[in-house]
Amino acid sequence: MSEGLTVALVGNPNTGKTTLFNLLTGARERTGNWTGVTVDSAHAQFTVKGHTLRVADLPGIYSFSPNTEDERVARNYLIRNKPAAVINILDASNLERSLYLTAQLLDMRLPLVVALNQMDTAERHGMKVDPEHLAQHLGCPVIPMIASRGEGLDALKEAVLQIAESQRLPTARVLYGDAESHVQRLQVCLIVAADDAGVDSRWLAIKLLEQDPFARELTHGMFDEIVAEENVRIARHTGQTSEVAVMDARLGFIRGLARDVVKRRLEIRRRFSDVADRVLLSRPAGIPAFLAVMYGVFWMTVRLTQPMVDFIDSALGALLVHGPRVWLTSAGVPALAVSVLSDGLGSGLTTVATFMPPIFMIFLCLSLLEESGYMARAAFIMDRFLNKIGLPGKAFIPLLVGFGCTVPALMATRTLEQRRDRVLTMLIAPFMSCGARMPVYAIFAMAFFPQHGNAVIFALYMIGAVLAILSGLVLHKTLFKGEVSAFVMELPPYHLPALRGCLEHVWYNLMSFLVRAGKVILVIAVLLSLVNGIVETASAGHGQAAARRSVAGRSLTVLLRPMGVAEDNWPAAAGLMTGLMAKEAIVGTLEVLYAQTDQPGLPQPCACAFSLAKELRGALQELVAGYGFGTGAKHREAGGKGLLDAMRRNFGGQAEAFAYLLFVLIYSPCLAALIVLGREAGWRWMGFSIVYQTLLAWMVATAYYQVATFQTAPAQSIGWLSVVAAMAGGGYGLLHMAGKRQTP
Amino acid sequence: MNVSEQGAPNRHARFLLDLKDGEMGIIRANGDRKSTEMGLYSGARVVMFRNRKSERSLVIGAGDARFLVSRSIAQKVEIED
Repeated sequence: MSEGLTVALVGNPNTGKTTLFNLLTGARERTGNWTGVTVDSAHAQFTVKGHTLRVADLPGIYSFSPNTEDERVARNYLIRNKPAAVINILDASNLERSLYLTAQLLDMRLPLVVALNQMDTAERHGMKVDPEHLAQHLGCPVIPMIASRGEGLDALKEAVLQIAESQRLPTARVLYGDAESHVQRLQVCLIVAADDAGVDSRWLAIKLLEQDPFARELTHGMFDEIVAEENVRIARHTGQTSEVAVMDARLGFIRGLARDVVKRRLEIRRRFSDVADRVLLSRPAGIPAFLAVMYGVFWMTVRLTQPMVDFIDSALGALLVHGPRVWLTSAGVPALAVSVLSDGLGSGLTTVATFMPPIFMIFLCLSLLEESGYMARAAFIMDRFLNKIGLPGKAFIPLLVGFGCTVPALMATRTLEQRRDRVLTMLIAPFMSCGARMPVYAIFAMAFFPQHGNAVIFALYMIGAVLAILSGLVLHKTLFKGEVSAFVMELPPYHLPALRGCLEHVWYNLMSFLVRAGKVILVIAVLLSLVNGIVETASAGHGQAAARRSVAGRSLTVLLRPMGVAEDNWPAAAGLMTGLMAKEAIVGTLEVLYAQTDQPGLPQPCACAFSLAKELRGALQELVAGYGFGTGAKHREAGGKGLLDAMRRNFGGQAEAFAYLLFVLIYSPCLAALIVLGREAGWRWMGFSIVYQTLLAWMVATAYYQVATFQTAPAQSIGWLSVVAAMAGGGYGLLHMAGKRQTP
Repeated sequence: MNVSEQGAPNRHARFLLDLKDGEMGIIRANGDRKSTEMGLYSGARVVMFRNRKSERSLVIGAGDARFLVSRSIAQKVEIED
């Protein structure tokens, strides 16, 4: 009977909501020690007494007033989906604050079960909370819990099943004091409209008095006059606006309730977190600590994982690319099949595998920063810097998340109240180098900057951050004028991250990332190798195929010539095109296309020259050397073959390679990010992002390349630099003019 | 219990912004909806942990929660004498 029933999980941030969701369902949703980890609803199932219930984890919010996008998401879900029951998780150590949401749920007239979590914390802080007394006041089940230890879980499941099946509504109602008679009068007028909209008439009356735009939308503005009349009456009666009168009465209800069920001492105790904050939020220690943390993240992601990336690349390259190519050719397998299997599938799989170490590490670092509570402090440290570009410090969190992946970074902007702040943050977030760009940087660093690879990669990360700030400044002065919006943000207490939980979440995120990116890369790699194989087969010989590619190359690379991409280096241009699908695909594309285009110049595969054991031994020696043990065989370098050599041949030098990397760093976000950007900010801003970032990428890469090679052809460089300067000036002028006409 | 409306500020009133480091107070009224809903409502006890003129946000405690609050919001939170 209860099959297919859905229950919704609602609560403030930092109340253990996602922990409870994972506990209930066995899912591996990410939890975080900062507001806004769940910015969209997640679904999973749990079973109780043989009945399966579906549970939706809604964003952590403080109220159902539509201040932010996450509050709108949660409220709209409850109104539109009408779950069979709502689990409202409360923080027993912050009960008064948690009850604000509960009072609004009582207004919504939904079947309710209260999970009174963090009972242990409340006790530790000297509070005694009486769950039974609270249940009597609310007229719904209240289950005391310690979700982190799984205590109270069975009782909660049973209560949820019972309420979901019986559809029993809470008996308590919030009475609105001086505004109550006005609520009731308005409610009578709204009975039919509320029925049509499928909502409770009393809730609708309260929301209309609170000037809620969603409630007005539900009634199509038909009751504006009546609401206005009631507003005047309330103002006359209470001396307050209806919005304030309703809120005051709700707070009165909550305080009365809390006074009855919580016995606590009054003083506010200093905690370890307060002492730590005295140091970590101070200017002399806070900024160095912040920079040290950021460098630590970079070091772990780049330096610590690089030898592992090299190892995977060498070992899997031998096992899945070079080996199969030699073996299949020797076995007389047709060239097209060899190309698809080794250069397509083998290369694609190797590329995907090389992403694992850096992406695992970036997600681990972000998870540790979230869980420890430091991420919210970073927002405070960055507040004054972000203010310069018209953003509140809170916007730093989506930007930091951007180092992992742009998609969750864009979603994390939902916690920002102002649409202006959201859109501006979404436009600059893609400048933060995501984990997908790391393999591209790493392979170029290995090929062109073997001695200073780390410095080059760090420089790219910094250039991305600087461009985000500069773009923010330009957009703040043109399209996004206005004062920095004020914000309130909770600082969660510091705590040691639970390593097991962190690793589980990281693994979950890593796998979903790899599956998502892997599908794109494998398909692109196989298709490209197939197309190349067909071209080879259809052509009379390498000369004819090369001629065809040369024609295609000229048309593809003509626009990239000023930034140092040679006419014949068409795989570089093709890499940028496939990179639009997923940035990681750039490396895979280069690997496949260089393997195809360089074949004429390379010795034909010969079984006698290839030894898998030797290749794997070399890769292992390289790994050991990479971590500072042994002398290192420089296996791949000695071999003088493979992707690195092909890249060196095709790009030419460091200036060309770095200009290309600058373009990769800056140009249009990948398809997944663009879709999210379009959905969250609007398709107009998505289009703006593509054009703005791609033009900026071309300008920066061209300017860099022309300056770097100025001595070779000064007149030409001056010409191109003038073009870039004119484009920059013209672009700023256009933005300035557009800013005068529109407000985002 | 009162949620003050945003109007002309009372010249003699004390605001959250006026609390010095370590100073405690009880909120008399709060003209900012969001912070009220987050726990800075009238009657709530607050303590100032960090208030620097050079910084745009304050660090305060309210009950067992800690908040970053913009100075412009702290200006709307009236404290009992």
